[in-house]
Amino acid sequence: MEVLTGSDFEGLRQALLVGTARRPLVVPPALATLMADATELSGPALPLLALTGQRLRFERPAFPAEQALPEVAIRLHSDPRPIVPDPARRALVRIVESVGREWGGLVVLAAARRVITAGFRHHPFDLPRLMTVLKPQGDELGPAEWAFVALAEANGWTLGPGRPRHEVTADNWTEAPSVARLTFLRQRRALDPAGTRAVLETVFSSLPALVRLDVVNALAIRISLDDLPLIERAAVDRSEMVKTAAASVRARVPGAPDRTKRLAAAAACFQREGGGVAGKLLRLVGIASAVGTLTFVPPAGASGLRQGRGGLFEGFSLRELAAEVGVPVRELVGALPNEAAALPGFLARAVEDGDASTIQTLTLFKLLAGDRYPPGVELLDFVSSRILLSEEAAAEVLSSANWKDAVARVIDKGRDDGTLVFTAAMLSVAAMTAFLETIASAPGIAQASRAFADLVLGLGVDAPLSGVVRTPGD
Amino acid sequence: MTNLPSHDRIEQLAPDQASLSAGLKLAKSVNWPVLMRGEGEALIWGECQGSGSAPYRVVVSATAGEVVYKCTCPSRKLPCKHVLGLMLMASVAAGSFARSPPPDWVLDWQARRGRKRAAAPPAAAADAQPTPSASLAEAMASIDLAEAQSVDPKMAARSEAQRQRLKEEREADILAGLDELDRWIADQVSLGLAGFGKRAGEGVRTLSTRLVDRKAPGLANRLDMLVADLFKTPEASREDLVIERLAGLALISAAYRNRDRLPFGLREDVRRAVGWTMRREELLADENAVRIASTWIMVATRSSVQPNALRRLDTWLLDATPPTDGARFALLTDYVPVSAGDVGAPFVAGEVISGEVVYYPSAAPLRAQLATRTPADRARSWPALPEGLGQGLAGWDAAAGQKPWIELWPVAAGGVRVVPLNTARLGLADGAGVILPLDASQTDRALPLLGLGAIAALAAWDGRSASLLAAQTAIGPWYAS
Repeated sequence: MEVLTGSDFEGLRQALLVGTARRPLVVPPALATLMADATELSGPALPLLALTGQRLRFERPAFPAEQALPEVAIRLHSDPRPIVPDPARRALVRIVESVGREWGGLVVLAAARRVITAGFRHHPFDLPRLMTVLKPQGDELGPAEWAFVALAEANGWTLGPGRPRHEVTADNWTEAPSVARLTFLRQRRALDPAGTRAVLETVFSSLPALVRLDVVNALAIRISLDDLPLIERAAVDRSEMVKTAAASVRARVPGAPDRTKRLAAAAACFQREGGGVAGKLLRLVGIASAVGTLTFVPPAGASGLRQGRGGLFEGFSLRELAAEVGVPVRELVGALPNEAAALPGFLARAVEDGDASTIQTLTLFKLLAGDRYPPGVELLDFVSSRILLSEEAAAEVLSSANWKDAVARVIDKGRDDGTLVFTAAMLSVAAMTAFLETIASAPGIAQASRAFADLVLGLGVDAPLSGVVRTPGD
Repeated sequence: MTNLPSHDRIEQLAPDQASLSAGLKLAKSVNWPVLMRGEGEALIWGECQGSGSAPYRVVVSATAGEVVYKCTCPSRKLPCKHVLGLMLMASVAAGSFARSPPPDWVLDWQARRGRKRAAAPPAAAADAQPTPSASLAEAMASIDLAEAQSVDPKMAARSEAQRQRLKEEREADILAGLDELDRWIADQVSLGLAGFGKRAGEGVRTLSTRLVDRKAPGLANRLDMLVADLFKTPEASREDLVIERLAGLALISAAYRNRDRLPFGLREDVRRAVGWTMRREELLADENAVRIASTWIMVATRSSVQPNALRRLDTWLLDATPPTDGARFALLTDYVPVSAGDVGAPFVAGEVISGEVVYYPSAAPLRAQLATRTPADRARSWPALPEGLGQGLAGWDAAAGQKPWIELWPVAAGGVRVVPLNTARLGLADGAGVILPLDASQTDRALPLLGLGAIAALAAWDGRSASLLAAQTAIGPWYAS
C-alpha cells in the first residue's frame, strides 16, 4: 500500500520550489507521527525534502522518443572497403596519442591518408578523432568517412539538402564542399576537357565567387588554347580572387601569345659554366652541351624569380622548363636559384600535375643536396605532396651522412622536431625496416616515427601517387 | 651503474603504459638540471623541473636486486614518471650522470631507510622486505609497522590519546558544520528551490569553505559539484536536480548524526560522504572487507576535475567471471592534485588482469582497491550480460534504496542498440522499449555506434542520463576513453 500518493509528492515538490515562506509545507497525515520526531532545527522541512528527493530518484523521467535511423548511419557500416587491419589501427592510435601539438595534425593526416590510399577504410570508432584532420581533405574520403561527416553535421538527425557529399555529381557539384567540388571538376576535365568547358561556360556567370574560383582552377587540367576565351572572361571577373586565379591559369596556356617567349627567357637564365677552355669550345660548337656546371644567371632587373604570379617561372612546370633548357630535370633542380619559393613552387605544380618523377627528384634534392638534412618544418610541403620515395631513393637517404647527422641531432635535442616522423611519412613499406634500424638509437624520442613505421608495415601496401591532383592553394 | 635496472626491468616496474610513456618523455637531459650518481654504488639522484615552482627531487637505489626510490612529486602512481624517467636516463645515457657525494636530502633518505630497517626485529624485517618491484610506499608501510612494534609503550599510549583527542575534536567540528549545512538548506527551502541556480553561487562557496574548515571536505565537494552539475543539466531537469542533491545532503547530515544506529556498511558510507578517509593499508588489512579474486577487465578510465582542485581518476573494472545473477563491477578511484597536470589514466581500457579487488565497506559496495594484480590474457571476452536494461535499472533502484545519496551505478546490458533520440542526443534502447538518454557530451564519440544493431553495453547511470563506458560490437570493442 502506498503511504503517500503522487499528488502528495507533487504538493511537496511545489512547496519546495516556490519556497516554504510563501507556501508552507503541509505534512501529509500519513507522516504526521514520523514528523513529530523532526529536529527542532529545521522542523519538517529537511525530512520532507529528503523524502521528496528520494522519490524523484526512483521516479524516472519519461523515456525520450526514438527517431528513425538516418540512412547515412547504415552507409557508415556498409562501405565495401575492408576495415584497416588491427596492427595498423593500433599504430594509428599511437600516432594520434604521441605526436606533438605543433605539427601533430599533419602527421595524423598523413597517417590517416596512408590508410585510405592503401585501400582500407578507417575503423568507424576512430572517425570521431580523425575527422578534424580528415574532413578538410574531402577529396580522399570514402563512403564511410563521408557518411560519418554527414552524420556528425546532421542537425537533429536531419541531413542537409543534396546527396551525401562523396557522390558529387553533375547535379549537385555546386553545393559540394570546395575540395570535393574541385576534385570533381578536375576529374571531368581530365576525361573531357572540351565538353566540361562547354558546360562550365554556360553557367559560369551565375555561380558564386568561390565556385567560379574552383572552375578557373580546374581549367588548368589539360589546358589548351581553346580555354583561353573562358579564362579571359574570368580575368575581368568581379571577384579579385577569381581574377588572380585566372591570371595564374592564363600563364599556363600552351601556345598563348607571350608564353613561348617567356619560357625561352626563363630557360636562357640557365647557363653552363666551367669545364675549362675545352668545355667552352665544345659547347660553342655544340658538341658537348653537358660539359660544365649548369648555373642560374638571373636576368637583368628581374623583380621576382618565383613561380608565382609575375615571377620568372610563372606557369611553367619544372619538366617543361628542363625540356626547354635541354637538360634532365634532376640537373635543372640542382641549378635552381636559391630562393625560398622556387622549390616549393615547382613542387606544388608537380603535385598538381601528378608528376611523381619530378616530385621524387625535388624531394631527394631537398633531403640530400644541402650540407645538412632539413629540419622537420622544411619537410612539411614534401609530406603534403604525398610523396613516397622509391626504394632506391630511400636507401640513398637512409645511408647518407645527412640522415645520420639528423638522427644524432634529434637525440641530442631530446625531441623530434618532425625530422624523423616526417621522413617516415615519405617512406614506403619496403624502406621501413631500414628506417627503424637507423632510429634504433633514439628510444623514447622516436615514438611517433616508430608508430608511423608500424602503421605502414601493418598496412602492408603502398598507395600509388598517380592521379593525385591538388589545388595551388591546398 | 650495472646494478641499476635495465630497460626491460624498468618497463616491468612501471605501474602502467601511461607512466612509462611519461617517463620516456622525461628521459632527456634537458629535463634534468641535476643528474648525479654516487661513488661505487648503484645510487642515482636528480632534480626534475615539474609544473610546480620547485623541482622534484628523485632518488633511486638498487642493491642486490632490490630497487627502492623516492620522489617528492604528489603522484600516487608508484613508481612515478619522474622515477621512471631517472632510471631510463641511467639506462640509455649513463654518461649524463656526474659523480658526486650524495647531498643531504639523499643522505637523509638513506639514513631513514637504514634506521627503520635496523629498528625492525629480524622476523618482521624479513616480512617487510619489499620485493624487487615493491613500491616505496609499500616498503615504508611495512617499515612503519616494524617501527611501531619497537616504540616505547608510554609513548604509544600518549600517541593514542592524542589521536583520540584529535578525532573527538574533528567530530565536534563536523557536527557544528552539519548544523550550518542544515540551517543553510532550510533557508534555501524557505526561499524556494526554483530560484536556487540564480542566487546560490556565492552562498555555496561560502558554506563550502566553512565545511572545509569544519573538517567535512566530502560535503563541501558535494556542494560545489551541485553548482557545477547544475549548468551541465538541461534546464527542464534543473529544479529536480537541486531537490535531489539538497535532499542527499540533508540525508547525509541526518544519517551522520545517527550513525551509531546505522548498519555497518551504511555507517562507513556516511563517514566517507562527510570526508573521513580510509587509507589503502587500512582497507587491505580489514579482515571483514569483501574481497573478490578474479579476472578483471578494465572497461573504462575517466578523468574529471573537481571544484576542489583535485583530479578524479576513475577506472571501471568488470569481473570476467561473475556470479550467475548478473555483472559485477569494481570502481577504482584516485585523486591527484590538478596542479600535477594531466597524469593520465592508470590503466588502459581493454586491459585484462588477474587480481584481488577489495571493496570499501558500503551498503552498496562498488568503490574498491586493487590489492594484487598480475597480467592476464588480453583477449578475454566479456561475460554474458543480462538481456535488456531492466536488470541494470533494478540494480540502480536497489543501490539507491541502500544508499540514498548514490551518484552513479553501473548498468550492464546485452541486446541493446544505440539510437537517435528526438532531443538530438543518442540513447541506449532495449527490445522492451526502455531507452536511457546518453550523456550529451558523448554524442560525437558514440555516433559510430548508430546503425550497428545489437550490442552489449556497459554504462554508468546517474538517474538522468547514462554515460556509456564500453560496448562490444560486431566490429570490435568500443571504449569511451
